[in-house]
Parts: sequence; structure tokens; C-alpha cells
Amino acid sequence: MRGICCGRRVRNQQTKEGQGSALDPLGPSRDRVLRTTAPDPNFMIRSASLKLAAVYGLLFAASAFALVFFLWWTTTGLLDAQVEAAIRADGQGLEERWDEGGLPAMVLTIQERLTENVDDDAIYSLNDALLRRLSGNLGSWPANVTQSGVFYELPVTRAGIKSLAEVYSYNLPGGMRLLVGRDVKGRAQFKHLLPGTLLYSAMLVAVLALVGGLVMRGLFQRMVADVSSTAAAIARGDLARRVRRSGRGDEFDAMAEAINNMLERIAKLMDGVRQVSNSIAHDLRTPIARARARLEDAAAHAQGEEELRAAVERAVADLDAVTAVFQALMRIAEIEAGARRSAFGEIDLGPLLADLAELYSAVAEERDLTLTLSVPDTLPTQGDRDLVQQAVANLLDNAIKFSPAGSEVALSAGPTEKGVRITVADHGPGIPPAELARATERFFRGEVARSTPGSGLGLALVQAVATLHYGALVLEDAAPGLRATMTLQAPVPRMDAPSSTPHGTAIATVA
Amino acid sequence: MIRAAKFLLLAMGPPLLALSGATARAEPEPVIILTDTLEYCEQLQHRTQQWPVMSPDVKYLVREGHQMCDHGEIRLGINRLRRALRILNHHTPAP
Repeated sequence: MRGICCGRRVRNQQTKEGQGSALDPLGPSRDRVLRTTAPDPNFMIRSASLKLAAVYGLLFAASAFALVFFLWWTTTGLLDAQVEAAIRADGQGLEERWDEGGLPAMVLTIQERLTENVDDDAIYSLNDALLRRLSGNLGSWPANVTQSGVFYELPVTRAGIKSLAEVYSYNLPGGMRLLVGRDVKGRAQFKHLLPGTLLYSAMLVAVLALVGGLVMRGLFQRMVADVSSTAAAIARGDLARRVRRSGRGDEFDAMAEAINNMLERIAKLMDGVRQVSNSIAHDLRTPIARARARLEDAAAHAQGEEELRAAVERAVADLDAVTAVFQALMRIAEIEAGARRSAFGEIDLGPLLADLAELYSAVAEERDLTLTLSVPDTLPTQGDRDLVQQAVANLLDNAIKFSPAGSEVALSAGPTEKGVRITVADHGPGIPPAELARATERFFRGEVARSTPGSGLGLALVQAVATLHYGALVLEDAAPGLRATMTLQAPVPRMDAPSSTPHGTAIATVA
Repeated sequence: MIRAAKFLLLAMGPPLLALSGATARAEPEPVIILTDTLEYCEQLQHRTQQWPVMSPDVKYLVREGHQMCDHGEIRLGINRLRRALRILNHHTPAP
């Protein structure tokens, strides 16, 4: 009672803190789901979709404003340049007239130009040293035009209407001064019209940005909603639920596929754990029950110490078998964890496989089998020597166990493109195609293997070793028999005298 | 977000000021242009009379310019007379 009480207290506390609970993994998830559905006053501020919409709107408005400003800047710059070029050309022409005919020619030219100024934008003023007007259409010399060779902006009045001119002055001989200019009211109007236009444009852009942002937000929410609802459904216990794909093949589809793959993997792992648990319960119940029965029977009916001791020894043997299964399971788990990769070193499979073949030749001979070896003298690779040895021993064990008397078991090895391969082939009953895919699962025992002793962990260990070495275990029908090929693809060390060519590959019959 | 908005305002400040022309400067007194007056219109009319022979188009322009100036449309009238004088100067033998 005490334990249950404390456990509950701990779980409640963790739920309050929004942390996971080891006691009830679904509890906090359920809490989280409920929390997301509860109204939250700050949800809109924290909403990622709203932030996305705001950023989109700001970027859109800034881009539009920058574009319009650039257009305005280049257009007004071009107009300014055109006006200044026209003024300079006009002034240069007048200076040339002065050089040709002096003051009378200059006066006449100014009058002619004013007469023919159909655009009504020309401004001239020819003044003496005392700034008295000699010719031109400017009422007086502007007070702010003090230097020659500089452009001035000058307010003027045309028929009582205010306007703006751009003027340029020249110094002439005798202290006389010439002023040439153009009316730029149109350009000024354009220049000042644009801010107002821009203001309205900015308002329009802001509205468009807002609408665009809301559209973006809607899209974003719609895309995330399915992932969110799937996660919530899984948290509620619907483990079969998957994220729906739109079929458009976009990034969200790729994400949905990745999430679904992850969920499939998790489901498969959970199935595996469930299956292993069931198998442990099922397979270990028999030897434990047998040991118990033997001990019980001995306690009740043993005639003497000899008989009692024999019963205890048999029970100990049964329990040793149980311990061996647990050790094998723990070893597979350790291998799958990948921690043993740190112990990887250079190993030469040539002598290692030759030693194994020699060791198993005696067992093969007992069963009237021929064990053949086809391995290069030297076959370097990286890996864990003990584990590779254990894996090959498991393959040889299986092959010898299931081969009929008088047949042949072949152990071969060689380099591959990325590593090495080790193959054990026999002429036994093999594994039916329907069972091949499950043959490496823990505790799996096919129809043929049920009648022979074994735990169903041998091939699972081989596959774990192959995976640890970045390789795989491939089981094939050898017609007749089974061909088990284990590939190891850990980086191969450089050796001074590589001997990958099978010069020593002569088939060695050791049995 | 707030930092981004501040950056945007700082970046857009100078262009907005430039567009609005909101710079404080002293405006000089406007200078009067003398070629938008009735006197100048009369001067141009007087000059057209130096050509005794005119094409019908030019005669029409001179008459229209004269009428416009009389009716207070000074700048339009001057425009017609200038166009007439330009044709006379370039296409009719000098008087």
C-alpha cells in the first residue's frame, strides 16, 4: 500500500510540472493533450503561424516600399540629369554667341530663344556688373545666386502662380553675368506627388501583406494540424494512426513520410519487445516448471541421498539452460546497443576462420559431415574478434545441426566492395521462404527447428553482430539447404602486403 | 519581432524624409518671370506683324494667340504666337 501511495503522489507531482512519468507513460501525454485544447489567453502571441504571418507581412511591405523608393529615386535622378544637361548646353551656346558677337549678339540670341520657347520653360537673365537687367525674362537677379558654376533651385512666379526653377550662372567679361535655367515645376510636382502616392501604396501594401500573412497562417496551420492531431491520437492510445499525405510531393509530404516511417519503426520495435516478452515467458516456463517438478518429486519420493543429489543436479542443469538464455539475450542487447564498437580492432579473418573450421571439423566428423573451407590466407577487417567468432560458430552450429549425414557444410569468405563476407552453406532442410524474414527474430523457431534443441537466439545474435559491424545477415535458399551470408563493412585497415587474392584459397577439407 | 520592426523603421526613415522633403530650409523670395505677361504677348503680336505674307496655318495661330491673350489666357496665347513665330523664322523669308 505504501508503495502504491507514494507512486501516485510522485506521478501527480510530475504531471503538475508537465514532466514525463516513468510509472504511467500515457498520463502526462494525456495531460498535454488536454492542455493544448484548453483556452490560453497568450496563445495568439505565442502562435508560430501568427509570427510567420507577421514576418511575411513585414518582409512584403519592406520589399514593396524599397522597390517603389528605388523607382522614385532613379526617375527623379534621371529627370534632374536631363534638366542640368539642357541648361549646360544652352549656356555653352550663349557663351559661343558672346565670343562671336559680343553683347548685341547675346541679347538678340536670348530674345530669339525666348520667342521660340514653345515649351515655355526657359529662363534667361543677362545682367551688367551692377546686376541691372540687360536682357532675359527674369524680373531681377536672384539674391541667393552668388556663385557661378553652381546649380541653384529658385522659386519663381509665373503669371502670379508659384513655380520652381533650376538655374546656373556664368561670369562674362566686363563683370557681366548670365543666368540660364529651366522651369522644373513638373518635376517638383512629380517629386512631391510621390510621397502621397507612396503613403496610399503603403496602406494598400499593408492590407495586402495582412491578407497574405493570414493566407500563409491558414496554410501553415492546415499543414501542421494533421501532424498535431496524429500525435494527439497516438498519445491517446491510437497507435495505428498515421499522418495523412497530401500527395503533392512537397516538403510537408516528405515530413509526413518521415514521421510515418518513424512511427512504423517504433511500432515494430514495440511489437518486437512484446514478442520477446511473450517468448521469454513461454520458453522459460517449461525448464523452470520442469526443474520445480523434479525438485518437488525428489523431495517427496527420493529414496536416498544419491537419488536426491541426482534430482538436484538435473534441476541445476535446467536452471543453467535458463541462465544461458538470459545471458544470450543480454549479449544481443549489449551488441545492439553498439557500445562494443569502441573495442573494434584489426582482425584477420583468414586464420580466425581456419581455426574455427578446425575446431568444428571434429563435430562434423562425428555426424559424418564434410566441412570445407574456402578462405584467403589473409582477410583483414575491423571488428570485434570474439563477436565475429561467436557469430560464425552459431552459423556452423546450425549448419551441422540440420545437415543430413554424408552431406557437406561449406565455410567460405572473401572481400567485397565495401568489406568482407562470410558464408556458411549446408544441404539441410533449409528455411521455408515464408519463414525466412522472421528467422532472425529472437526466439523464432521454424517448423523444422521445433523438434531440435535450441533457444531460437542464434541467428538473432548473428544479425546483431553483423549490424554492429555495419553489415547484414542474408539467408538464402541453397536448393537444397540454407546459405547464410554475413557481411561486415567496418572500415578495412591498410596493410603493407595486402593479400586479398585467394592464393591460399584452395579448398581445405578438414573433415 | 520587435527588433525586426525597429530595424525596418530605422531603414525606412531616411527615404521617408527624403520623399516628404521635410528638411528645414529658408525659402528665398520668388523672382517674377516676365514672359508670362500681357505685355510680352503684345510684343510677340507686334513681331508677327513684321511678316506681310503668312500661310493660312500661321495666320490662324496668330489670330488664336491674339484672341487668347485678349481673353486672359495669356500663357496659351503666348504659346500660339511662339509657334507661329517659330514657323515664320524657319520657313518664311525674313522681312
